[in-house]
Amino acid sequence: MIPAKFDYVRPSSLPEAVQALAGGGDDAKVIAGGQSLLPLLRLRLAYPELLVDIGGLGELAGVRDAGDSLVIGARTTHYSLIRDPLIREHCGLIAATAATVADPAVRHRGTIGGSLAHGDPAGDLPAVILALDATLVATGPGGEREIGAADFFVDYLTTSLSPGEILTSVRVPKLGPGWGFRYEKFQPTAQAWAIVGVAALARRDNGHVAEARIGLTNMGTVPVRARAAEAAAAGAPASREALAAAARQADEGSSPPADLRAAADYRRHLARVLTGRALARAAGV
Amino acid sequence: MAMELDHAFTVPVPPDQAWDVLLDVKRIAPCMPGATVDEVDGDLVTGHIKVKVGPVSLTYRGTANFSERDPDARTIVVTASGKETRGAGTASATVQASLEPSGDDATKVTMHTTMNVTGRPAQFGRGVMVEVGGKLVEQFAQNLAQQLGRDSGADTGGAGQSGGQADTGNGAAGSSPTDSADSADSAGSGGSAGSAGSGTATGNGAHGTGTAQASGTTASSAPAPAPPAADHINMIRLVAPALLKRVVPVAAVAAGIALLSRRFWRRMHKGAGA
Repeated sequence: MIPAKFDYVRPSSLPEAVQALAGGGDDAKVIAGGQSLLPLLRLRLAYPELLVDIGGLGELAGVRDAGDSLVIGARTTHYSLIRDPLIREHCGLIAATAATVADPAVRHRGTIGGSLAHGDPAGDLPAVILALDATLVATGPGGEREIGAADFFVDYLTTSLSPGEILTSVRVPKLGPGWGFRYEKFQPTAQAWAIVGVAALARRDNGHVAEARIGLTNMGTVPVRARAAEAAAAGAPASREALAAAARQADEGSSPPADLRAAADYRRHLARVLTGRALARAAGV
Repeated sequence: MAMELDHAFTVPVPPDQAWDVLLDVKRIAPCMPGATVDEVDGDLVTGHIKVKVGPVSLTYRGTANFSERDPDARTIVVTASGKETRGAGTASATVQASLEPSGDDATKVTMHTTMNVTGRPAQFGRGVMVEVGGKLVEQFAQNLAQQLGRDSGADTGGAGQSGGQADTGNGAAGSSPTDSADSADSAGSGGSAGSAGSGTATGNGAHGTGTAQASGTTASSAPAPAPPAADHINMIRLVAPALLKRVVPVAAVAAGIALLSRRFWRRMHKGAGA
């Protein structure tokens, strides 16, 4: 289908973009890769009056080393994430997960910022960012603001970004030595959205898992942390059995949706099983 | 695509008072988030309702009718139906609300909602529907709980039976607190009123679905009919399979041709070599 009419601007600097967005009020939307927004427009489920294309803002693309963390520009595409040496070295989970996003065409156009700002709990990167305890940086008329990943996702397709704000970068703490990671994605067909996804990080120490962090995809209206399973995994022996036991609490506190693809109970089951697998891989067993 | 939702909450007023409120279209209508009333004609309310979730927005225009009132059983039934203003989709809902006494001077309100959505929004599977429809009804229930509590609060002098929950963000200071948290206990059960597809509706917990809304947003005094439900979004999720369906056969044919031509080539080659 053809989208409804909208105005389009392509600013060449961030301040211009913020200004353009402010001028559009509630009916203005930021567009980057367009891989989530365009389908909504084409299906006529969204009717923005103004699209502010941040594709011209070169400063928002790329990855920078900031000491104990990496700063990833919001416009960095999935394709770049997969290949970036800094990310592969310090935050490999992001590269591994980005490689599972949709298909090559989408990965070349779609951006990390777009994926996060879209706020779809079925998207892969939100759960990863949550598990990594990243910080999101947004710029609006009032200046720059930092938002913790846990506070960023508010509801289904809804984030804590205010209408005039543009997500500019994501700051991800570097993983230290001893950390392993794994993203387990369960999908009906290749390239489909995850029915459930599990992003797991584990720090191994002396035959045990010293610390674990788990983010769940599509297990609620927002990505969620599996806190109970994290606590159970901490201190557990690094064995498949012990980690699978810890993973039995993975769905605790989540409220997975029921839809044509899967019933809620099935999603809970998947979350437990996938968490066990992801933890085992993250812990290297 | 149909879904069912159940909500229950308690308001700190006796059933008689709550019943009066429930009968008043002008007070009930504004409880529907995003609704605007265009016309009230007896039991029939005409208006539109805008459903917005993130970037997705759908507007339905239609009517709500108080189709049943049973003072003895203290039950009302409201049926609403609407058509998308920018598309061919439709949405309809039947809400049955009943009151029963709950201890001294309190009333338990139970709401059962059946919703049906067709058209584009319905193509996207139940997940979206549940998200959106569930949210709408949940907000409606919360707002209704506040409305009932507030109206009676004025009469009873807010007789201090606070159900808890300091509901901030909604103008009416001094409204008696209502136990809106209960509204989360939606027990979705499958089977929907005879329409196709049935299934379970998961109640999404009492996440901060904005309470602030209803009373404030509807400027016109008597907003709201209730065709709720739009379902939103996530097209992509939905689109992908459809796209795949198209791509896969093409790819299969291409692969077949490739295979054949290779075999053919090989044979020719072998023939030549022999």
